[in-house]
Amino acid sequence: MEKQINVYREETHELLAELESSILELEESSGDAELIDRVFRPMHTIKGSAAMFGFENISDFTHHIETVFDLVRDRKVIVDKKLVDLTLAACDQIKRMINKKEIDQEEVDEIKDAFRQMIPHEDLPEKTSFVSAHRHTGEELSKVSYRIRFRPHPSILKSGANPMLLLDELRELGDCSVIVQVPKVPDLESLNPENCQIYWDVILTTACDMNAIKDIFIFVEDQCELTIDVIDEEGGLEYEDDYKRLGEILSERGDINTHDLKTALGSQKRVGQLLVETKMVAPDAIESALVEQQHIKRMRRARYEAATESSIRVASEKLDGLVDLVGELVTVQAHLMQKAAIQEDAELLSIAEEVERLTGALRENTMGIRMLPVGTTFNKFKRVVRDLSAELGKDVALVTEGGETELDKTVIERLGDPLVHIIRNCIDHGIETHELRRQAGKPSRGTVTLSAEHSGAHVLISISDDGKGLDTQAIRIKAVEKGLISPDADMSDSDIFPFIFTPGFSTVENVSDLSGRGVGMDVVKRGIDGLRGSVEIRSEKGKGTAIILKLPLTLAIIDGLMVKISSDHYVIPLSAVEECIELTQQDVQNDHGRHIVNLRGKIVPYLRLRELFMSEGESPAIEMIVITEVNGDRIGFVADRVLGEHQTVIKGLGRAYKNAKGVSGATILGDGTVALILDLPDLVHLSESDNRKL
Amino acid sequence: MSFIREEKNGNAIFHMKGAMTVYEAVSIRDAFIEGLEAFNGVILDLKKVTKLDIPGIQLIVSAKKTAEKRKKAFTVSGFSDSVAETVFRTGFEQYAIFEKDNQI
Repeated sequence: MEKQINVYREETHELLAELESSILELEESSGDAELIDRVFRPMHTIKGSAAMFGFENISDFTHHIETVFDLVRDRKVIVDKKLVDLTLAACDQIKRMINKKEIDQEEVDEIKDAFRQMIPHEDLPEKTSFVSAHRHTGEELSKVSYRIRFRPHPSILKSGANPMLLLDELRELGDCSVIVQVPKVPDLESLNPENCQIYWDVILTTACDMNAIKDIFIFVEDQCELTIDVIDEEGGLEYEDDYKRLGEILSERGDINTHDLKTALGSQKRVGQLLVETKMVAPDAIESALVEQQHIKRMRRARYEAATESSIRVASEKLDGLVDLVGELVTVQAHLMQKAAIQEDAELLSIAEEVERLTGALRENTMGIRMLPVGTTFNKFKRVVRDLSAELGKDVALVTEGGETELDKTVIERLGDPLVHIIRNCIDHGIETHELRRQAGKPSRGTVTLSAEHSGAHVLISISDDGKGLDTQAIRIKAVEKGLISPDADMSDSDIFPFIFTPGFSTVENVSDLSGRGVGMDVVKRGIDGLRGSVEIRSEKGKGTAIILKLPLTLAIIDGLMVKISSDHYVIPLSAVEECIELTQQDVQNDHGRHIVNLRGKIVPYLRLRELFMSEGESPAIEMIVITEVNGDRIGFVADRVLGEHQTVIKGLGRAYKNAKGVSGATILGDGTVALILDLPDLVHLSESDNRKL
Repeated sequence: MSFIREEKNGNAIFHMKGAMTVYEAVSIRDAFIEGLEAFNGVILDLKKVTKLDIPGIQLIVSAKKTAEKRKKAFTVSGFSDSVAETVFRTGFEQYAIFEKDNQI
């Protein structure tokens, strides 16, 4: 049971996130029926599941919110700031209840009372419970399709009843196809406009029971003929495309007798066409039967698709296990390929190639399972922005774009903290106060835009604001103060911006609770480095700042350049590699131990991997320098040989080596040997701090 | 409710304005009868109709049927949002003369 409760907790957190996101959207566009439904649905599920898993307090608490949103749906309560604030407070309360944290009962009661006070007097309390009981238990119930034949007596209009309103009410119960029938409407000369000669067939698919339908007609039951038949019910999961044939529907409705139907079926013509031609059935009746046929087919198809397309929840450890196994398979496959090539056996080679193809497809698929849309993470920030801007007395809107862009699950999880820091900085330091914005001729409402897009094997996440932009001069002064640059250094803006990522670097005079201590942006940099990503800043004074994070699609595989030192293999991430050049003994002698090389007129420093990793053996006469770009600087890494590109399945180093410096993981090669994956920024950092011994 | 009857190419064009409900139905019915008798066909312009109820829509259906029987033309040349709403609410959106494609 504990396992199920954990799943419930997990799901409830997701539903709360969905609810928060929808309520914030609803605040922007109050009255959008679809959005109201999107708020209602997760709330209803939270309530239902809470009762199932013994969280009665949550179930009872959520009921109060649900009652109010039921009235929102019926347009009896409007969505305003008060309702949004209250709902967000209620979400926080539910989170506490789920996590079994200490509950302040007084606060819970206050929220409940506040919701209760929002209910208009006439809707208290029996009426609201009636609405709930009839309409909203529907999600747990299976849906039924009804055929409703509503034939008002001609005099119905004289009593003041309006069939149009009855049809409206039917539509509210579910998916409705209304077929109007006019065969009894006479010519103009015989028409008494006060009589209603129109009647209706309605096909309704709903979770409500037949009584709910009868209730609608309760005041006109003696002024109409009403027949309600069940024509389809949810059954098994198999998709039954074949609903009743047209003849069967007509016969069931009493529009044709069995004898005439049999006669028509004996003909080669289409039944509908023949019945109309022979005037056995009115065209309107055929039309109505066809609509019924289409309606039920559509409902069955939707039901089937919902059942088959539904997702299943898999523990992430199982997924990680699968990725590991695929990694092993890739290794074995590489080994098989190598052996087949050595043995020069055509048949074996063909099998090995087939295994390679299948392994590649399996790897793609498995990686695809780990990919999640970044939108869920984006939506969480709507709440952050709302709370922060309220705290700072600023009006800031969050715009999200490209939420459907997919990223590896691990990348998404580790992206949260850096994004929080950046967004906080945007709101606290980027977006100006109302007054300053007005003076600058900007709209008083500031905008933070969070967007994602694909760029090759990377995803670009951009966080931009329309605030005041970075103060280049202030950053420069601070950098000089901290001894990072000399006062007369000639630097462009793009060279100066990265200083904000230096630990303890802040140009803000007043430290706020939110930011300004100079600890945020270096966390961002470290976080993004840890994801093998990079950060770029673009800023224009008075117009705003954009921070662009370039992240790999996945952390499970990287494209690497394989190098060799003595008998050891190392992988350099290919995204950092610019080119490879030779390093001769002569070059080494010429640089007098300064470890620099002249690359087309530019001096590039290099690090010797042999020294860094204390490899045994002698260097060959001609070594290779892999020129890379690390943190915007060019730096070379010297290896004995460059073996070529290698798609690398990354494996963790395990607990024993978690503190190992200069390496971010390992990979297993086709012949079973292990190659270490180099963490270039860390290696540079190590060499700068003159700690060359690993 | 008011309407202007205009003649064009042997057809009567009725430009309807205001409500077209049970209260106006008798006078409209009589005008349609007259129009269908005196002309080759009737064209109904509903673009300025502010309200249409079930008797109003029934009247249009009846006029259509009458015209068919007399082998005369009967079409709707356009309608307002409130007419569109009634057409939808009463399930007439599939009825030939209210389909957009059939309007002139």
